[in-house]
Amino acid sequence: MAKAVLVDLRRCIGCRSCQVACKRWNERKTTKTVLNPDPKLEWTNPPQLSPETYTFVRFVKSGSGDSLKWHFAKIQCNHCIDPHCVNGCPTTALEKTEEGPVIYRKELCIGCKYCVNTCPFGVPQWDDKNKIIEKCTFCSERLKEGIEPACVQACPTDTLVLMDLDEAKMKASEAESKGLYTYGLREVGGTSWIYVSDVPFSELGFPEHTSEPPKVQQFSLLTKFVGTGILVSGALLAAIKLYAQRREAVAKAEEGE
Amino acid sequence: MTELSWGILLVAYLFVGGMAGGSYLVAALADLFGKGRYRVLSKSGTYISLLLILVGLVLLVLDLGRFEVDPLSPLNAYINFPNSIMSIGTWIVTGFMMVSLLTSILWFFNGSSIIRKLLEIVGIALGGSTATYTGLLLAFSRGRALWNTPFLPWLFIVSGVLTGLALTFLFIPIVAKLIPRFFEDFKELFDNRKEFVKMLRIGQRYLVSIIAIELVLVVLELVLTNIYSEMQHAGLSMEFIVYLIAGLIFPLGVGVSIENLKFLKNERTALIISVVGLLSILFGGFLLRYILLTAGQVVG
Repeated sequence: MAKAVLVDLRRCIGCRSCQVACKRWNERKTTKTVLNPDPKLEWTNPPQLSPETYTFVRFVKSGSGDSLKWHFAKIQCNHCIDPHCVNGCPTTALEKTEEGPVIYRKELCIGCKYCVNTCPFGVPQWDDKNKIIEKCTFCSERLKEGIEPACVQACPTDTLVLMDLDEAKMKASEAESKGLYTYGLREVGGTSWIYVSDVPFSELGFPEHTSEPPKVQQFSLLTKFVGTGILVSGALLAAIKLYAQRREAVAKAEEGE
Repeated sequence: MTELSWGILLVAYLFVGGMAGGSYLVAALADLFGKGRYRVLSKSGTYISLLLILVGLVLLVLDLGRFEVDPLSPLNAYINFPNSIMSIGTWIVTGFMMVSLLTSILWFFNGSSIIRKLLEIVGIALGGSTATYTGLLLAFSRGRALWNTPFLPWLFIVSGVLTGLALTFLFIPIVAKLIPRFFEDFKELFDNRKEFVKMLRIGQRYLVSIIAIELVLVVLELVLTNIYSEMQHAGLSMEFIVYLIAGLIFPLGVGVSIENLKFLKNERTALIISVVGLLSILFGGFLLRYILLTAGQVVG
């Protein structure tokens, strides 16, 4: 049965336990603390994903003085249902498993970095020192043993809850019907990490995406590509014909003179 | 600060690969429909395509991050066919390389013209696909909004043909001067300056038409997408303007002037101006790919 994590951001207190647990389980090094250059996000640390950071909590500040509010959003690989990285990878080094995680097999990777560019969420990170791609694994080895991912286990407020994918979708749909915002229910064809929030996701810095999975997006682009070709060549042919007619008319007029 | 996962090696590959496809396309069409008038041009385009696709392959392999860890790993790029556009591209480039090599051999050793023309028909499809797939590969990259447009692959094809044709012309004097012993017909054509300049003048008409198409595509991209504001965001708007002037407007001016301006009737002047125009086209083609590849990654 495919697993999912429902991320209810209303519960998040920004304690970063998930960040720490992820670093410990995946033996990731710590990185030097830096303030995010964007003042709205200044307490986000680390400021972004990296080969050493599979997940981080984005601290989003809104308002000021008495109306100051903090919103917290955990960022990691969303483990798309139909991932662009898996579809685009020329070697099948990236694979979507039945249980839900998108896993990486370095022995197949050629280091083309297409996944880095095609991921709709900017997740895969190229580790130039070790010549591999690094990203959240959804703790696939733990899932296989029936254990929750490290970040889910560490979360003290149940912001992160592991459940079956169908259940997560149902709960997110219910939340939507109550006027809450969701992310991952439809975006890029759906993801295995589904978010619920009481603020729009655009305010939390989540990229806007249509519901098209890779093949549909590619087909739609191909159709537009062919259409553009037909339109442009039609216009050009018409222009050439008009030009030829005009030339002929001028030549005839000159002959007449 | 955004780190660029694709740098100058890939820019060079996109440039060289597009030119390889474009030059073969031009060479094959000139051979199939030229009634024997453009034999040297066809040879030049075919040889150039082989040379460029081999250079492109080296650039591509050097850009692969795991080549130094596992030198055989690039072969894995054939696996995810036909799901991955990159895997499709790998098969296309391989096929194109074979056809380009065989056509070059047939040209060089004066082999069967029927087999050569049959190969050229296949090669037109493969060369066109070589110039196209890179544009589609970028357009399919969901994480890079700047690339997700249907105009980008067309821009790559047209620019590939334009730069391919420009280099095909430039290759003739280069070969004629450097290795005339193996390419006597190249030397003969170039030494007959009147004939060579006449061919260049005819070529300029084609170049002008192709530049006009590229301009239409750029205008469409500028009007229908927010590419310019994204270029500004990426700090590349000046480079974009340089591309417009050096890659399109200047060579367009050269092409139009060469037939209409009196002082360009002089063969020597026409030759020099033409060569400058051709070099400018090549510079523009490289800049176009640099700008698009870099801005797409910076903007995200």
